[in-house]
Amino acid sequence: MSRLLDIKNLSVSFVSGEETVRAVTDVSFDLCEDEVLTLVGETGCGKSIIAHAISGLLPPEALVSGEIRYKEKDLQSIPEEERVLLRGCEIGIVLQNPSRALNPLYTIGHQIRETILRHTEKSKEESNRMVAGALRRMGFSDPGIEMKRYPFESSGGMNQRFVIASSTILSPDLLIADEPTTGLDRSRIQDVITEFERIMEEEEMAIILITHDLAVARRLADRIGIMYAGEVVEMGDANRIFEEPYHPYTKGLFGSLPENGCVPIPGVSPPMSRIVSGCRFHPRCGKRTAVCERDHPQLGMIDDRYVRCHLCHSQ
Amino acid sequence: MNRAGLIGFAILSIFFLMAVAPWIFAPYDPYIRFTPYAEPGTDHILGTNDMGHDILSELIYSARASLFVGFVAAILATLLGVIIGIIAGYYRGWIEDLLMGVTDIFLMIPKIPMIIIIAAFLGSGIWVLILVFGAFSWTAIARIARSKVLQIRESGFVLSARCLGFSNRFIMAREIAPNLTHIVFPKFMLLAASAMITEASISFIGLGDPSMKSWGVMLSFAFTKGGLLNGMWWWYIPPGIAISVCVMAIALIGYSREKGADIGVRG
Repeated sequence: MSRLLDIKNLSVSFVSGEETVRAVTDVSFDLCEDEVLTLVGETGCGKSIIAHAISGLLPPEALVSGEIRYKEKDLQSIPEEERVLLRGCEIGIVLQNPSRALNPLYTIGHQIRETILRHTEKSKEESNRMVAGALRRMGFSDPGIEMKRYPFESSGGMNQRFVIASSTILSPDLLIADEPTTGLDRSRIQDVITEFERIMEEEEMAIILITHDLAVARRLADRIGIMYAGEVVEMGDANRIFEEPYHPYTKGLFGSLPENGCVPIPGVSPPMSRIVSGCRFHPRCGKRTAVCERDHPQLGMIDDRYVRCHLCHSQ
Repeated sequence: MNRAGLIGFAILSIFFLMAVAPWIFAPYDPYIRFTPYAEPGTDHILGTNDMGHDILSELIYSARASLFVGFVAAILATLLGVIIGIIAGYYRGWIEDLLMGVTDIFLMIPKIPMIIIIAAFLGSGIWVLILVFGAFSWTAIARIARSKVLQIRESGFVLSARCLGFSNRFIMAREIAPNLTHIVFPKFMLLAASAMITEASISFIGLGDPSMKSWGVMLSFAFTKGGLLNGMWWWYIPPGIAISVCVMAIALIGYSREKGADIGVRG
């Protein structure tokens, strides 16, 4: 499988007044065609910033360093017009909060159709047929009715599927889904997961799925990256990590799940404006040693995965 | 629309009918000359003026010019204001500072004295009035449009439009602009009313187009040709009432929509 996306040493920071907020520090990963990578972590750990950096949607005041290569093109250096055209056509993006992702004044059919009209030379009738086809594949038995509806006439789960439909209708090579299940109840989340499973089965698409819902991550991911305070702390094959987490934070995260006893990790994540010296997780880590407080650990290979922990490396 | 709005709408519809097809309502052609200075009677319900024109017919034919000035000037001002407001709110940064600075400068300029000066230089005429009114009345709309755009540009559908690869121009015109309708419309109606009053005032002081029939011109002639001094109430009261009722109708519609303006796009 060839490489679709290659991110090297990506750092994103925001300067506001005297404070510098380092939202993402030194994140590197690559993504193959047809692979599903899930980024998991607490709120504010920088997952969404990575999604925004890849799609070029960061606000202009963000300082970005590092390299984002998509199909051997450096996304940072190509002109904005080219980048705008990549979005929606080759790179599909699904954002959280589906009900707000649709303009309340247009019908569903109109909004999904606009994407096709924007990027291709197809006629309105042809586009309508494509939209109807896509909705039928999603399990809407009568797409004609759904297309005439307005977003407020549909449920949040349906709207999220419409958003997914408009992001994937042109069969992009890369789909970035930023918390696609947030704000939905369990049964709606099920709909969205089913939708993703269908896409993974039917289409050749690499997916970056960003979530803090571990159940969703487990269902969908080929590979998983655990993030803490702007860094990747553990990354590797999803099944292996779920079976046996190495990093204390990953263990804590899994331990806080209801089915694993609901034991929360003590403390709170550090503010991103003041970087903790040494290992960023050491104030909350039960196994910290002197070296954890002093030295910042590097991301190193252990067995089949990358881990950023002094403890795991010394064993 | 509430009851006040419906009443306003009914009254305004009648005025619009008068403007579109005055011959249906008017008993005579307003340019036919009868006995001048006739008192109201069976032949002429509102009498005649100094030229012998039937005042009721003149009143009905004048609706066209007054409404035309009011709405065309308001459309012009609204378009300018919405475009400036959207650009300022969407791009932010120095563009916003510049446009809002210009807005503040325009906000300071008193409108009616400005129109008087320009009319004195360029000569009076309906288009001068419309252009000058439009050029100096967009500020309020630009401000409210900008503040709403600042809110809408952060909303999910604008972000997802950017995710889907739409251009800035498309997003401003098709995603943001339609969402401004409910806050711009009441302002637009009030601007139309204000433009009609301005037209009447400017015409009254003699800077209007004397060849055109409008309520302001009628009032102006009633004043300068002695209608007021001689107590010819049928000459000067009806155009005054027509202006007031028409402006009230427009304002009622505007206010009735304003009450609903906070319902709409959230966040």
